[in-house]
Amino acid sequence: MATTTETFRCMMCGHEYTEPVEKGEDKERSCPKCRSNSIRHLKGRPPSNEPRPSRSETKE
Amino acid sequence: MKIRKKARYVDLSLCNACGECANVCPVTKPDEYQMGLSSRRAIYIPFPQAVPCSYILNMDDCLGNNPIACGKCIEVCEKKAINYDDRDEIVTREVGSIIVAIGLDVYDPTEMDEYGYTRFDNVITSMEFERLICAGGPTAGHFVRPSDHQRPKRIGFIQCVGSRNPKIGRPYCSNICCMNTIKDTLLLADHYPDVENVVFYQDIRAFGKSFEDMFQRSKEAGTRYIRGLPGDVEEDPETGNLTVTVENTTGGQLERHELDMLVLSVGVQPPKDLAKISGLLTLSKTSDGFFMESHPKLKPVDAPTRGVHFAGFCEAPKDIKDSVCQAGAAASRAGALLNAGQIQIEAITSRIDIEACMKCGLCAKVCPYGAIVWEKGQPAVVIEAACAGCGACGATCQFGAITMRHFTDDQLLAQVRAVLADDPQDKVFVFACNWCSYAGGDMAGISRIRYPSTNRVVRTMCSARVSEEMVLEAFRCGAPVVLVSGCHYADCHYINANRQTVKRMQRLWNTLEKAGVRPERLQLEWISAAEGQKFAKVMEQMEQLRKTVTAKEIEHAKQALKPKPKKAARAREEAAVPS
Repeated sequence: MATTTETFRCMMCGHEYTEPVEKGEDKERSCPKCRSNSIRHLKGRPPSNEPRPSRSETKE
Repeated sequence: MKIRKKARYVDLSLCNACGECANVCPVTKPDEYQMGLSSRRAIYIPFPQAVPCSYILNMDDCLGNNPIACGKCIEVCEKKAINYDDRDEIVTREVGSIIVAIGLDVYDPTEMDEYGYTRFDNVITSMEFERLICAGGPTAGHFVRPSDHQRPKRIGFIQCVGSRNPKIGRPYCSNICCMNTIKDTLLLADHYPDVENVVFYQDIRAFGKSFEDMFQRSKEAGTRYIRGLPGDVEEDPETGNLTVTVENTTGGQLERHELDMLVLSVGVQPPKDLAKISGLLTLSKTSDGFFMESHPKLKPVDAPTRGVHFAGFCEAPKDIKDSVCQAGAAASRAGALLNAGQIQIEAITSRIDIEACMKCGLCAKVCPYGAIVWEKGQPAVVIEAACAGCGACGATCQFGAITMRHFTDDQLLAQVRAVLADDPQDKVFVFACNWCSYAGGDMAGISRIRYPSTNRVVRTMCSARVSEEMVLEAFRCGAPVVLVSGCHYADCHYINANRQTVKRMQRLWNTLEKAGVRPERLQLEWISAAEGQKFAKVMEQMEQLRKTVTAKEIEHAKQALKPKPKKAARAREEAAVPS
């Protein structure tokens, strides 16, 4: 089975991580940091190393 | 239902199982039933108790029938029962119910090289042990070890080989191995009182009726139980004896045991044909790879696909007694269905408006039950008896051609608008699936778990019913945050419909980002009916998130997510404006 390394972002805590993904796999994802299931698959994007703006910064 | 009846090349009505054909057959192959410990011919009876008791010719092993390369069996068969021109037959049957009882495969321990299964002759599996000690086995029940055909005096058993081991992708307990080993030790103690048995285990799971008694009897019969799984097995090349190194975790010492034979108590795994059957009957699997039942407590023998029932190992590892119980239950369920004459179905099913259907076939693609029939160029058709009412099709149809009875788009959108009519900025908007998340909320309530009272829940049968339009409408109505919640993957009550939810969420996050709306405002959570605590925790998190959303952000979302008028409508509007 073909495996690729994909980037994911937790939409709850903002944690970005990479994980090997098997083609056609059927797996429930959760954030390794906060266990949230709001995991966004960032297709074709490398994980961002820059710190993401905090929620207070976006509050305007 | 179409069934392929494989060619036997032997006429059942004529063969009297005299065995003359096998006596003259020149082909020798390992006997699968005897685990390769003895051989069979190309024409053979699969096992002594086979019904019907008739020979079968394996054409893959035969020297050839076209042209006839050998033909000795035909020559000696007085009954003229052998027919080289026999062909596979397709049998068509109309059935009202299907019981899936495809059994199991035994784990192959080749990959666990530390036990030396492929390197040492005297390391065998529990299945091979079974054949060796069986009166109908290759040695007629005379228990000997493979290397020198001498009777072993010291026998070791290693438990959990291929079970409870996440490293090899088998985290589950195979259920039967502990009792099988206990039975084997009792059998050895009974037949050969001078044999010393040692069992290496991590836990003995003897939880069935009289099982603990058997375990105690095994210990009383002299079997030593050592808590700890061996890390290494070595062989003395001269004697063929084996030395097992193990940490006895009870005493914390490293021990070495010299044994004549080692039996690997191998686990079980889903049968290799499971995926094929799963595709044919649209069945889903648990994370262990076994078939998933409709409900673990209330419908343990029913498949999510109506009219399909499970019996035995294919659903989960279980012993003979449980398999027989489940088979009886499955037969009863099937009988009840067949005798009913007519069946009642839930009113929550989808209906397709043929006029509005654009014949794209997307609905058929997402239906987990295969309840929508679609052919290219033709409008889709719903088989209502097969439709379970998840609503994945309704949320997928972009043309409003599908109406989910009792959960129509209009009804759900009206709920969204009503919930957010007053003070939407103070509300956490939640879509919850009927079976898990909504029940999780109930659980939080009846458990008196405190959580913020700002949430407003709209119930759908499945999270897959929540269309992109519904989520966007919530934002248009001023919702600061939206949560879509559903069952965990393994619990999805509609086979795997909630995978459509995940795909939709990915698209929605992209849409929100493109529109300049913070995608974090939309969240997804899997909450089971038992997870009242999680429901409360998620509501707390959503409330915290809601507080970070500003009035400006809400207003921006309202404007940015406004539906764009279709091209034709735009052209009409432009034409209406006087130049």
